[in-house]
Amino acid sequence: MLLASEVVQMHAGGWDEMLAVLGPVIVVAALIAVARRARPPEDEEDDEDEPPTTAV
Amino acid sequence: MILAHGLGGRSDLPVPLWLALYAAALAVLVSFVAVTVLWTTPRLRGADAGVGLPSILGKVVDAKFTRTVLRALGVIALLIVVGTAWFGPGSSSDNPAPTWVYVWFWVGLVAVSLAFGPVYRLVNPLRTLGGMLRTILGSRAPTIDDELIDRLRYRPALTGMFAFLWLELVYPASDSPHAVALFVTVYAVVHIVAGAWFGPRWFERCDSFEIYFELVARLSPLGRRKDRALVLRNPLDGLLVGSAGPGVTAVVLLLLGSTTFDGATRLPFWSDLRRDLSRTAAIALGTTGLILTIAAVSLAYAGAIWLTRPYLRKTVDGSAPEPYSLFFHSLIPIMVGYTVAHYFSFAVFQGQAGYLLVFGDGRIDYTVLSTGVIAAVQIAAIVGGHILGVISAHDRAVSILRPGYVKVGQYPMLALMVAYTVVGIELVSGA
Repeated sequence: MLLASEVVQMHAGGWDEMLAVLGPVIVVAALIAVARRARPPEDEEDDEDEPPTTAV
Repeated sequence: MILAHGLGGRSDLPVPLWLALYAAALAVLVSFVAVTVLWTTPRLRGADAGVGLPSILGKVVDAKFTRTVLRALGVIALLIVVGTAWFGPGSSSDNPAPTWVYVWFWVGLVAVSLAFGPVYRLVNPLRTLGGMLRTILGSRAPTIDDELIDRLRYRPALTGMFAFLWLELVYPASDSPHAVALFVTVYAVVHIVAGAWFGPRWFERCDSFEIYFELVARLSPLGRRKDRALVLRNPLDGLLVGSAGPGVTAVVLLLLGSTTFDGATRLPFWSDLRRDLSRTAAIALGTTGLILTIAAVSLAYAGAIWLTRPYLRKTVDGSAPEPYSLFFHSLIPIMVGYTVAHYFSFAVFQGQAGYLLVFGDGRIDYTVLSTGVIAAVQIAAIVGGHILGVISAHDRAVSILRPGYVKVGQYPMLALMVAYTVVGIELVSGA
């Protein structure tokens, strides 16, 4: 059997299976999209005067 | 017909899969919202935290007699395992050595480390034998050079761990007593000789198993404070104690990826892929799958850190901090959660073979746990691990992200946690 048709058959679980996968994917994609859009400009200075002294 | 995402496989979940997935993702999101509201300054104190235990306990633990007994027990156990594996029956159904290694040692010591802290360091027979060999070598052994060990950046540990995981998860005859004997013997000889040559720091930085059990032990409520006192502490404080850096981050990602691969190989999809393959092709497929899964898990982490990077505050000299090891400690509870979820029932059932094969001809009792209990432990371990991960990542984020962006700056790590949670539950539900 072709891999493509096998993959289609594997997803024959119905709406519940599609939603089980789609829901978390949408949450993850939304979080990433917001994080990308809201990132601060590279040259913006931190507005507090106690930066971390070390990386870890 | 084979169904993707494990819906067609054996399912232990007492609730529908979609409900488990949504509830778990929601638990992670709600815990994130709760900590962003209630936890606005760094609270974890690492090695400074902990309530001192009665000093008599510390004296007993640190007594030379206790240490000597533990070391002797470690060496005796190693000799028994190696002897049984080499000279016992040739099948794992008659020889207990593979069960001792894969269940009692590899999984059982996770439980012991979680309960009592880094016990394996005290028992480690390779450390003991390496120290003895160094004493015998005397002045012929080179001067200890800790910088040289540090320059190796955990590469020997990564190599040793990958070899063990490949044996366990890919090699078709992984339960063969002789395969186990060969691995344990070669591993032991390499580390005893290297430990004798380079000194005790070798085991801290290069012995895969000592590093693994030390990472797990960071989640133990028992630990050492900065003043070396034995203390009872918040396990989240323990996560901050110990080495950090790109090397140990890679060790955690390797372990996380291998557990994910182990879950994937139990899906019907994987069995179908392997069905008609020759032994060599199956090994090639398994090796590729293991490497790709570790790479995918690592890339997901690297991607989340890459997205977090613009939100990091600059250090005092104006440079950006090294980002990849900043959040690695938050992966430790996730790694432990996956381990418990994947190996809990295996340890309870297969672990019985370790003494049944020695003391009697009884059968493994599969009724000691119901499938409902197993499923509850699996879900609790994965979700609990991720919630602890969210909290520890948040505590770090509060101190290292730009003040105006603390919440949104955590979204990439939160997305990673949600993704890991969902994949973890999909895998245990389909296994």
